[in-house]
Amino acid sequence: MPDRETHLHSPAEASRPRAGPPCPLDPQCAEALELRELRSLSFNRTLAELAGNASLYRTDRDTALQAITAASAQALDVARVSVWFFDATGTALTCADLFDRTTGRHASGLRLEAADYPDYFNALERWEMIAAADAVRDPATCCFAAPYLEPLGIGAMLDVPVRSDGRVVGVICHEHVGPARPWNAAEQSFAAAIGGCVSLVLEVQARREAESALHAVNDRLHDVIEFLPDATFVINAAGVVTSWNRAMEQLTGVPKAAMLGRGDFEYALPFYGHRRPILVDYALRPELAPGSRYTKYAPAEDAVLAEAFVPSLNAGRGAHLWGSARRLCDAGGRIIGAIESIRDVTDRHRAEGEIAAWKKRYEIITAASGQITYEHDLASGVILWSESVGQVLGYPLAELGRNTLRWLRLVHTEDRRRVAAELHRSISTRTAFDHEYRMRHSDGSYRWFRDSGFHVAPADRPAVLVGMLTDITAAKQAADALHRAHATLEDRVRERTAELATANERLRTEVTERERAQQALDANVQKYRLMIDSLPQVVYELDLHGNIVVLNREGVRTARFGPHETPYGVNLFTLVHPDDRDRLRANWARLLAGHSLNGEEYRFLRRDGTTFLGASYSHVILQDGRPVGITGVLIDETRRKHVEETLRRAQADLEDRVAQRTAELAASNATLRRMLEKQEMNVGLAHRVLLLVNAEQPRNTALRDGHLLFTAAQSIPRHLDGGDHFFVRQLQHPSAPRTLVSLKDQSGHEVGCILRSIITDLIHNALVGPPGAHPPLAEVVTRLNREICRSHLFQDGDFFTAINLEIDHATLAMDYVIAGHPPFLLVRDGEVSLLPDLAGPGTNLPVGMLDHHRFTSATVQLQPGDRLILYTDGLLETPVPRGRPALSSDDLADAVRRLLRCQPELHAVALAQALFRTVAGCACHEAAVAHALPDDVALLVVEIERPGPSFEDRYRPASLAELHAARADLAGKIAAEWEQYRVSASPMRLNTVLEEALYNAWRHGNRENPAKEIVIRRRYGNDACLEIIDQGDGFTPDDVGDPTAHENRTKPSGRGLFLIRRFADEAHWSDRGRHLTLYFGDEKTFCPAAGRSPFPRLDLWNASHVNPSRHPHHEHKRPSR
Amino acid sequence: MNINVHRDNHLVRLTLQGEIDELAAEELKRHLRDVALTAPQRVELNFAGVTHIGSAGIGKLLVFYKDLAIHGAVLALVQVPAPIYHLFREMKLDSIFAISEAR
Repeated sequence: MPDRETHLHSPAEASRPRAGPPCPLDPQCAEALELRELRSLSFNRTLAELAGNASLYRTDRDTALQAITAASAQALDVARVSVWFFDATGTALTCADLFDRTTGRHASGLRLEAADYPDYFNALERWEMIAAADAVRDPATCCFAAPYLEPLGIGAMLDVPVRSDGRVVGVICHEHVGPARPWNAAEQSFAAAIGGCVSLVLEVQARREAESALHAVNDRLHDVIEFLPDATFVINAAGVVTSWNRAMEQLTGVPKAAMLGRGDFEYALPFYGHRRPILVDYALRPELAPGSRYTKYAPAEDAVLAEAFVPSLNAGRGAHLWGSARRLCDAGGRIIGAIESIRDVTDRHRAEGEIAAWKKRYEIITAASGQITYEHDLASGVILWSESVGQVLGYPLAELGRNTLRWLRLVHTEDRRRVAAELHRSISTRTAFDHEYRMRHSDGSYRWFRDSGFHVAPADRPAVLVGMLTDITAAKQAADALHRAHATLEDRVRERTAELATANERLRTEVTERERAQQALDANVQKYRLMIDSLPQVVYELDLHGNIVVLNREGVRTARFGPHETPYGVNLFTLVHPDDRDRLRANWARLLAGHSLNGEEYRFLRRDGTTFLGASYSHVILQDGRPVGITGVLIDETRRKHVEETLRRAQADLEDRVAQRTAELAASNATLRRMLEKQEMNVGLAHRVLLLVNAEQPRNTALRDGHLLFTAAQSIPRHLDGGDHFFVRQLQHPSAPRTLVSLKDQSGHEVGCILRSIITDLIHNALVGPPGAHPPLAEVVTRLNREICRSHLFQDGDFFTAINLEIDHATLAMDYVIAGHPPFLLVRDGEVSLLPDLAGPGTNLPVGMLDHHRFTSATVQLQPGDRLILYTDGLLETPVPRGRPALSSDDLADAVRRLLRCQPELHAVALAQALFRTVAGCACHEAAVAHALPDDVALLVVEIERPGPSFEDRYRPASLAELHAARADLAGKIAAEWEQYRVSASPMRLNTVLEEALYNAWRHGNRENPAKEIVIRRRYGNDACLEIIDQGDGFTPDDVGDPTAHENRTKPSGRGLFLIRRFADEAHWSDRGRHLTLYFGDEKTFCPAAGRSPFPRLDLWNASHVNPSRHPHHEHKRPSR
Repeated sequence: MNINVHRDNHLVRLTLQGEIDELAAEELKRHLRDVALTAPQRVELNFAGVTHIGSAGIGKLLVFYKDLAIHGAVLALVQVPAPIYHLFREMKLDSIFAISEAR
């Protein structure tokens, strides 16, 4: 450890002798003292020379250091003096100058690392001076011994730190070559002074560099000021101008040279014409007050902003100036001057003035109109109101404030939540709004305002909501007054209405009837026009002069009018052969005189000159009892004559039978009328009568090769019951059985309509005749039309449309007659078509309109898998209650095509159900209950059903317990199959029927004989089919007594068949009663028309005939079943 | 099928539960025969728990009715579930013995 006292040398301590006090009388001592004084003088002289050498501090650093090292080496009589400076990190010393007195040369660049000489660096850091008398052994310098001291013969070192700005920045080293040398106090003081000289050189050097940098900055500042676009000048603390840029020269017209160095407010002269403080002075001396000299004056801590109008500028026109002045301070915070920038804002000021004037005008207009405009800053929630708010709402702007909540508090409490919600919606969706609400006026009243606003997103700031409040109180009050006046008026009207009620009541019924008649007439006229265009016969209407008023499409085609030629106005006589015209005139006179002239034949001239023979069926058109024209049908006689002879014989026979039936029906009709008059008939009874008329309708009819003819219908009346009705009847034709399907749509609704349905189907069935008769379908419909027209049961405007089909069971050929009805859908192999084409074969007028109309039929060949969907026109209107347009038949066909794309194998019932759900938006059974459709709807489906998937089981039960187990096993299998094939019939129905049927087969059929088996087969199509076959002796089902008959009620047996018929949709016995075939259909729709009946129904039209499908055998009587 | 018999002097109450199919009808027949032998004046069959009855079960009821009628006793069916009640009425069984519908 170095001894602290060894190195901490003060001048007094250094001057003290190391071994005892000096003695002045000692000659050696005296010589030493003299030498010491001489050395001191030398030190002082050297220091004085260095201090007085002014060039030492003006020259560069290195030259000054060389002078100092040389002087110090000379004065201290040492061999080498060097100056070293620390690097930026303080971990190394670099030699700035080394003077070798022996050679008189200077060197530099040596480097000492702290890591190599840690003791020395630590000593420099801790001690004021290192006075190493014996440098080789001194702890601070001994680290240099081997590499440096001993090779150079250096015996002593005197190193003094160099300081700058209060810290050690380097060291000056004095090296004595020779033996050890103690350093006395004077030498140490001198060395310290030399260190001070080096420090002074460094300070002077630093100051000189700072001054140079300052000058450079000042020069750049002046350049900046010079080229500022704003007029700018600078004054110093004494108010003397030190800078005056070019823009100032242009603004004031005073050149820089004339203004620099001027004080005493001379810079105010170009502006005001006299000396006075201006903005730069208020910035320099805040204690000065500008008074009202500036229009806008905004002082800050060290700057001021102001605007003023200076009349003298711009050639006397004056200028609006905007100024900004700021104090200038030096690094010590002392005020050294001020700077002012001036901008000519005359143009901007003028523009702002114009904007303000326009804004004022707008404010006046909006205020005068009771409107308030506002701008709602969405980011801050601040609302800027127009000044009109005070006039309209009565609140000063300051009181109303700019806060959103403050505005909402003025909104009426009943409107506030709605208004806030609307504002939130508008802000969140960035959409406009327009709503009305009440706001409180300053006088406490509430006024109605309409608030319309929209979003604006300026490019330079966040989005705002701009709106306008319009006072609509007066309009609201007027509306209220109007409402009250209206209410008063209504009261008066009500009073008058009450007075007139009695009188109106008498008229109402008549008016209603007339309205209904008019509506029916309108509808019928429209239908009439559409229908006559679809007819294959010529239909015409003429005025009393013979000019054509109406001519249907067939008439235009037959007369061969050109495509651009109109038939209207053409006189009929020009279209009649000249030889027949006199006869036509004579006949017309007879017709107008009241005679009937049907079937008169004339030769007609076509437009191309050719002729044809036509039979005319004409009627006089009466209006208010007077003839106004003639209408009729023209039929190509050639064609009629051809078939007339063929039909004559059959017609004579039919007329006899129909006359007989008509007489019977007239009696029946009279009975019905009496019932109606006695109010004994209601809709339900009428419906039941209709069901009785149509008897039990076949549903699944066996065809050859395992195919089935399936028919089922669903009626969805608009009211309790409607005018859509249908029947399916099997016709026992000599060659092959046929199935007749008839779907009809009566005009009108309710009881009268159902009565017409009853009489229609009564006549229709009568015309079809008894089993074995087979009049052609078209002939039946023609006769039906004629009898209806002549029956007088249909009032004017009553008619019905119909589809009638006849399907031959052997050939699958289907005849059809369409009478004013929409076409039906034929689905075959995924393709959907509509039959028939408009005006094609089989298309006819509705029934009940023209008694002489002859109906035609068409034929189509059906194939296995074909599905037919027949519908009434009410189906086309089912979308209407849901606000959708009515459909066309083509739309229906498209809907079926879409359904088939997803499920091509849908059976007819499922397809019709899906179609109804698609177009009506609900299921059939829902619509049937709701009675909410615009018109009655009926759907009738026909399918030539291919053999479906089938299953079979066989049982031989030996006991009742085994039978019970077999039934349980079977019920489980069938339940799984029903789920797979989506049979919707209830399990309860199945279990009941299964129990009774199996019990009958085991006990009454097989007589409990385990050697005989019971076969159970299932097939799945539109209906689920269940067959149960025993090996017994058979029985005749119709011979089983009615268990509800009085004489049978207490009998303990005989109810099995009752339950089977009660719970199955169809039950047929064949093979002498050993083969039971059961059908289960959809639970809710397309059920048997008459419902499931536990009794065999009376078939009115086949009463004398045995239906082989239902009554196969009569041999056995087993009434116990 | 479960049958519970409760006697109260000359009144016998039978509570029936479950399905009365062809097999259960035989069991019902045995119980009814036993009851008939006791010569009750009135028998009430509670149908509240009956979920199904076939023609075999109905036949047993009619045999039982006849057995009771010989002795001047009365048979009543009470608490009959709606579907079965309506079926009995369709068969006009309500003209033979009293039937009351379950509420």
